[in-house]
Amino acid sequence: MTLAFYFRDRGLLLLWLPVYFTLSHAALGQPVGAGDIAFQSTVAGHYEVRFDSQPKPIVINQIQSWVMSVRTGDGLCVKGAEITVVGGMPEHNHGFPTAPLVRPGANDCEYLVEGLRFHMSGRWEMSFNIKAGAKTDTLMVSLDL
Amino acid sequence: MSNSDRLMALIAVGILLSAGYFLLDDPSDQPWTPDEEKTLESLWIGNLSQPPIDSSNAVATNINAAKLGHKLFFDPRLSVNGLVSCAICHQPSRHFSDGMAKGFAIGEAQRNTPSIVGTAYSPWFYWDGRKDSLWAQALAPLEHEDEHGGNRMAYIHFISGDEVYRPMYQELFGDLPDISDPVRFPANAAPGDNPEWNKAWQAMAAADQESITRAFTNLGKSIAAYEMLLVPQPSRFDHYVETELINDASTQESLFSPNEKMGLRLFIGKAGCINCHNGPLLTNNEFHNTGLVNSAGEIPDKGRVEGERLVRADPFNCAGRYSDSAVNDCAELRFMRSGVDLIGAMRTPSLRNLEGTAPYMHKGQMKQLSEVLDHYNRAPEAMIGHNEAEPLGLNDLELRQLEDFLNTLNGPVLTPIL
Ligand code: HEC
Ligand code: HEC
Repeated sequence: MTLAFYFRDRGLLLLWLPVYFTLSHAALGQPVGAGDIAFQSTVAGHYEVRFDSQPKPIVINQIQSWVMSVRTGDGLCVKGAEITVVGGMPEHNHGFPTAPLVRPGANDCEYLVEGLRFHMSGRWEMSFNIKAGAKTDTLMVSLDL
Repeated sequence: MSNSDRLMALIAVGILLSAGYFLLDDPSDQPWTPDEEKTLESLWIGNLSQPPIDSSNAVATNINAAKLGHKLFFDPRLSVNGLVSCAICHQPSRHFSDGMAKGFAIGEAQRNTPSIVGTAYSPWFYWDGRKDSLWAQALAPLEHEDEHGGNRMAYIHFISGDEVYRPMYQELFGDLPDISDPVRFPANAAPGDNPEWNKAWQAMAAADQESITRAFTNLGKSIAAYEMLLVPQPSRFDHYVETELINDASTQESLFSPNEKMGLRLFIGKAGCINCHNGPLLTNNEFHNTGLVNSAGEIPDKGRVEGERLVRADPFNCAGRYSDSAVNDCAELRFMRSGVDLIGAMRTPSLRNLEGTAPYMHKGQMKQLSEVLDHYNRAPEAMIGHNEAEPLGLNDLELRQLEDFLNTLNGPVLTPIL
């Protein structure tokens, strides 16, 4: 297309670059993309959670399970926790298309999040409620798919 | 130059100038951004892998099962009157749909006949998803009084007595039950609405019922193996995406008109179609209420709330005893959700090959794509449940552009060679 357009675009791009970098830095540690949701802390800081999604990167329209490992701040396994998960897309005002469940996994640290499915691209918010002994805490996960 | 000539020249210059202005600002000429390119690629048929293997069907990818299923699919002898095959409603020339608002064989079906090209990718079948496998689905029309109208006992008599089918079946599934005793195995019997056949069925020994039902499910599993091969073919849109991926701008320009390109822009952007019509089949295979009116004189269709209840109770579901899966394999069924937002929700259809699959929607409510687009643009309140879609506020040109884009998604009909 026309040269005028080419330059206009370029100009815009240059103008936006600093803004873009500021924004993307400010957003660091906020929502994560389809690639990685490796490590997160719970709201009150009781637990640290690591995820391993299957498949990786996370895809839409496919039922999937994630391995979730839960430790205390000082790295000890959190055994026998009761974990529930709810979530959805606030922008579209709907929840998960499935009813995922969390059950104990292969070792004391691990739990299996089964029956997850994302049926649209966009921002997903998930909330894991983790109850172990007397300590209940919440993990918020934002995903951009 | 006469005055009128001068006027004409002025007008011509004016038109050229304003055309130039519009061209300059024509967003259809903007290149796709890297993010948009990713989105286009996500819709590309090249990203369509093999259909997921159905663990509930041990012969899902067996070529001999597909051969048997292919024959069964087109055989009208699998019906009470010898006239109805699956293919009279799922016609290959119409991408396996039938061109009618609602399917019709012996009687009228409750809903529109969907194309079954690419359906093997879905975890759920029927508009309301009341079946969770292709084989379980295939059994239903065979015994439905408005469709094939037959019964499982009669079908097993037919297969046993047929010189072509019998060896094909036995090679795949082992011996057919010995049904030579007419007292144990009457000519017609099946559980269900036909009182005579139901009575005959209830009189049969449980073990005999079991062996007949099992053989019947094997017919469904063979038909399913054939349906696994019904995959969509590349469309002009797919070639367009390919030119984007290899940066071939000049070929790309010749493939789409500016309106088609704008339509695609709307589809993945402002119009929000891609929220539900995503992936290479342009469907998320999920359930959504999009606020359609019901057929005249009918109560509104409950959709997925009913489908969810039915599939849970279905003896042929993935967790049932005719399934070849371990129960733990049945993730879709185990983690299935219910909820009020599923009232009036239907499964999102693929948008490939719309040219051959009108009329549209679950009751065939709309004959033309322009009606569909007008519906989305208005997003009326649902008659039952809640319409998820919001009014779009598109103008007439934009609606036409969307329609033009949808028409780039047509591909040739595939008839697998077996
Ligand atoms: C009377 C016409 C008719 C006949 C005969 C018929 N179907 Fe259908 N088919 C339909 C209709 C109508 C629907 C949708 C019904 C609904 O959703 O409630 C459908 C749905 C389906 C679906 C689900 C597709 C999807 O994406 O949800 C499949 C698969 C299918 N039919 C296969 C078959 C097979 C296999 C046969 C033969 C054993 C068959 N049909 C016979 C009319 C017919
Ligand atoms: C909220 C999810 C959703 C969104 C957004 C959406 N659709 Fe749909 N679409 C559906 C569902 C569900 C159906 C089937 C509805 C029914 O029959 O009850 C459907 C049906 C259709 C059909 C009819 C296909 C057929 O074979 O019957 C067309 C065409 C269509 N949509 C195009 C579009 C376009 C174009 C857009 C954007 C303007 C769009 N859709 C946005 C979910 C959606």
